[in-house]
Amino acid sequence: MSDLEAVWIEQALNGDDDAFTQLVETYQKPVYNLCYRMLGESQEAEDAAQESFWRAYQALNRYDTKRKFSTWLLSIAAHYCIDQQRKRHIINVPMDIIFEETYSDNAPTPERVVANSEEDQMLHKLMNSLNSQDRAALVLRYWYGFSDAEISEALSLTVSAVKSRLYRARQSLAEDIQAARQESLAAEREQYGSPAY
Amino acid sequence: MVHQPIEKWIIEETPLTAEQKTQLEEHLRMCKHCRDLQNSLLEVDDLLMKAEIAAPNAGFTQRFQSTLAQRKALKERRQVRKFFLSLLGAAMVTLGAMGLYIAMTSSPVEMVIRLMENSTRILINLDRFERFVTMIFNTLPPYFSVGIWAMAASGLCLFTLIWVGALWRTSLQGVFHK
Repeated sequence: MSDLEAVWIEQALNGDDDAFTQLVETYQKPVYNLCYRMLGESQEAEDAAQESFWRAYQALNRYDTKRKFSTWLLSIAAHYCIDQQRKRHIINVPMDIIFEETYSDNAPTPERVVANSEEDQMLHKLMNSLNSQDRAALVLRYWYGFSDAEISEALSLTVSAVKSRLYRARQSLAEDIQAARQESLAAEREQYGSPAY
Repeated sequence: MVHQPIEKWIIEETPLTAEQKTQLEEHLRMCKHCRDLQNSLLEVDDLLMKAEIAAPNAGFTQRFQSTLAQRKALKERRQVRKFFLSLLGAAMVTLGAMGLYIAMTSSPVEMVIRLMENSTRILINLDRFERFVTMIFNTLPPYFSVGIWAMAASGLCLFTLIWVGALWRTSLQGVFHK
């Protein structure tokens, strides 16, 4: 944690809302990205990120300064997103449907900026197939470079549970990408009408 | 063909010993299943590494600021309501317990008699007090009695204000940091 952050936290604890706003300004992108990768939709990610900051604001007096502030904040966001997914019982909505619904106009929404390539669409589809905790572990590992111990702290899991979740998630992603590749190959064959293609 | 522990090594990110690496390479040369798995994982890693960090729409912090005051007010209202409901609940439980105790320790006739006795005693004492106060006011000069009335009324108002203020502060305790 930087000295400036420590000062902002101290000031926020003394009732200075502007100091907390500085923390929001600093961490808006990582928190939003986590919510977006977890929930897969920009408006929900915005709401979840706002709610995460509000929860952090309320719980600030319980924040242990020995912990990294970003880990603590991302942990709040991850837990909130996991709860949201549990509540709405997300059942892998195909991403093409989400894209059709979301991209009804030409406004440059965040997901349009991010998912502007085939790879990003593929990534969304793959992430959607994972359960919420596996997804959270994967996001924290790949986007934030968290170690197993940091992920376990953020998600309130044991280190061995994190290892097995990451293992399962990577295995599932590998299988899905393999299946997707085979599907696209089969589609191409069908298109060109040649089994030998 | 047995794929373990090769599959585990491919999926896990833990570093391998030189011997394990040789074993892995030999197995991959012969096993298409594990080769495909490794290629797929490389593809997954590549996808994840290349993925950008999504940013919120401009004005995120301003949106947070504008809703903060509303959220705080709502939380304060909720806590105050909770506090006063708890107080009311505690008072009702206490009254209920007292009623139950009286009902269990005396008969209905005794209760009525005791109630009548106590009410009469209170009324008699109130009457005595009223006479005593009236007598004092009659003996004092008029401006003095008005002063006493004014002081008593102000004192009562002040006490009530302090009491309400203290209750309010207690009800909001712990809502926010300061």
